[in-house]
Amino acid sequence: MLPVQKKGKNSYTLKLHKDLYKQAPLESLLKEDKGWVRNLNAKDKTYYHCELKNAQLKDVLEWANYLFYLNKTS
Amino acid sequence: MPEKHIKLASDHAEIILNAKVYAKETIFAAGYVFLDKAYILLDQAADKFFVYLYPQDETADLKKLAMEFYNELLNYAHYFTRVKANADAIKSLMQRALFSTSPSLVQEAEEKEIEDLIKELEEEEKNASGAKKGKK
Repeated sequence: MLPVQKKGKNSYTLKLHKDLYKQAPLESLLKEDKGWVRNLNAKDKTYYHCELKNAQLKDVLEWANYLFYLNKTS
Repeated sequence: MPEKHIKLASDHAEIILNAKVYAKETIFAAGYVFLDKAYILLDQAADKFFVYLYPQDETADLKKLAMEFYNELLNYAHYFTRVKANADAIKSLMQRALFSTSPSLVQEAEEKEIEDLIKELEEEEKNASGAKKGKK
């Protein structure tokens, strides 16, 4: 299953594996973008589930790329 | 055959990698190079990594992009292997470079080495005398 899923007209969910994506950069990015991105705090111990509202697929992918960059450089 | 490990969709390419062959660090290093031409998503399951590449240029050839990613993976896998294999040589070269800029560090290192050797000898002597006493 793709990590990015469309959930509504302008809403997506992003599944990020906890062994691949570090918690610290994710939390700082969530704090920065709290207006349109939130952690769903699912009980899933394997993945972070993020909801991105009022977004197009390109916005979601750009956000994911920035998270990738933060993971690589932090 | 890499084709087995590449799935092409309408807007992205999925690359399936064996986790025993490619380390996470290698994938991040290769992905970092691709940040300006593709959007990258990662996933993991059992002994596999999944890399999803969405080209930033919609007219880009997905298969070519995926194959270029493979090349970059190989490049970094080789780089990390060489770094690991040459770690001792790199360390001694770095030490020499540092020592050459500050000769006092050489003296300190030599003194430390002599101290370590003396300690080692003292311990050996202790062990030897302990063994003699034990025999008596």
